[in-house]
Amino acid sequence: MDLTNLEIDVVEMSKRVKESLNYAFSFYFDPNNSQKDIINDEVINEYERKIEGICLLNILKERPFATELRKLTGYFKVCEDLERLGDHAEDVCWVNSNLAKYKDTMRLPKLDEMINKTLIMVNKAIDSLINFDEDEAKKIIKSDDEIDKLYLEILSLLPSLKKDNRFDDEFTIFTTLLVKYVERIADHASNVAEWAIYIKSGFYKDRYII
Amino acid sequence: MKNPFKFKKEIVNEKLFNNDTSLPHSQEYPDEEVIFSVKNFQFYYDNGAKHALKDINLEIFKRKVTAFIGPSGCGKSTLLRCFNRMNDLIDGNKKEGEILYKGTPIDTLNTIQLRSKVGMVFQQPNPFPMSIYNNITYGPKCQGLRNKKELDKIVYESLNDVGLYEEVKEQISHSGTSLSGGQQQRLCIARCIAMSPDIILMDEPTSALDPIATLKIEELIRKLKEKYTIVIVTHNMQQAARISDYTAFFMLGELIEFNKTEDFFAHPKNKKSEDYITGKFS
Ligand SMILES: Nc1ncnc2c1ncn2[C@@H]1O[C@H](COP(=O)(O)OP(=O)(O)OP(=O)(O)O)[C@@H](O)[C@H]1O
Ligand SMILES: [Mg+2]
Repeated sequence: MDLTNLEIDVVEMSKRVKESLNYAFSFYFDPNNSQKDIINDEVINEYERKIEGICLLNILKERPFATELRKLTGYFKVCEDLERLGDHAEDVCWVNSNLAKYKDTMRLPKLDEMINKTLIMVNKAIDSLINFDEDEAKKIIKSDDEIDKLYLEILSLLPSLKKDNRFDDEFTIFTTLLVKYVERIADHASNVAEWAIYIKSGFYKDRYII
Repeated sequence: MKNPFKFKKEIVNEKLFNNDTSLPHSQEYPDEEVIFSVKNFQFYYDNGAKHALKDINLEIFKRKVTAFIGPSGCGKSTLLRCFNRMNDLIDGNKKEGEILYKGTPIDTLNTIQLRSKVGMVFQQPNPFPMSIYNNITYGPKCQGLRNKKELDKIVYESLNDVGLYEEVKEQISHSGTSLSGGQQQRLCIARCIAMSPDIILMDEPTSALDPIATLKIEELIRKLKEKYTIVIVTHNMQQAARISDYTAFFMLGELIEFNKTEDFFAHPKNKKSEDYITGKFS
């Protein structure tokens, strides 16, 4: 069974997801960059459909075992997380366009930290998938806890800042949305790493799927 | 040909052949009861010139289906035939190590009695050239059963167990060889069951059958394991994955991996297993 082309598609899809997210956050840090139409979710969606199709067809026709079985089922599942990451890139662009006007005056250092860490996580998770790097994947999954901690800290911070009248309503609403998206992105990145481990070993989260 | 039974001391151990005997549990798989235990077993053909099985250590678990897979000539059939001592009939065989049946070395057992508890089904269906009825009652009659009512009951139950009763009840006195290949194979299984065995050994039982007859045998095997222990040799990897609980993979006379079937086919422990089941060599 030759899965080379399937793997090329996974690499291509991953590359685009990485680009989208890195781009989406680049103008959180530099609002003047804002060009949200550059994010093209459609291409990523198409890759998802294509990868799903190839996986199902191979499972049907080739009756795979062992590594081949794990790749076909793992890619089938992970492309959903990759696709969600692409969706969230779009979401982040939209939120950022609404936050752009505040960027020079209002910054939350904790949010900057959360975004930076999440971006590192996404990039490394995708690399671990492409390189079948189980050890790297395990590290990434651990770092999701840090993101969750920052997420809760920022959420508890927002109401008090609001009370001080330091932020207006619009800023608070969009920042809340952004924080939630970042948390979701980290979660999907962690899933990508989980599937990377599954593809390597058959082990998913806390047990062998079969 | 020399008589393989002549020189050996054989015991008839009634307790051993009683199905209620409690069995030791496996150390590696504590839920499983061990019915056959193969220990440091070597088997040679041609007076030692052909080393067919090399230091095999393996357990067969009660009421489980164990599949033997591996490339042609790796020794699957040889090991299968060792379980009921069929290989004793071959001139120039030599064995070392031991195979225990319920804890007792099989070489100390009476072969007739061992074979009544360890039935065998072959690749080519081989009904005896006699009626369906007599095919089934042959074994029990050899064991001295004469009561017509009891024999009728055995015929009904055995044929029913293999799903053949409804199909052949009108032609029970016809020759077994007049049935289709798939029916003949089920008749052969019924013939085994009639002896109320512990274990049924099957050597590629479906490779001469069409897909529908194959499916029927596979369903039958799933049902039979409620009552019997089954060891099946198959070249069809999908079949092994579908019907077995444990898989033993052999190469060149060695046992490469023994594992739960799901684990074996999803994440084998051994690189050679991986290469074999993904077709990287044959
Ligand atoms: N009666 C015999 N005399 C000598 N050598 C034998 C005999 N039977 C089998 N062998 C040899 O022992 C080895 C194992 O044979 P065996 O029939 O057990 O293989 P197998 O795994 O069942 O193969 P297949 O999948 O082709 O049925 C082979 O090399 C075979 O040539
Ligand atoms: Mg054979």
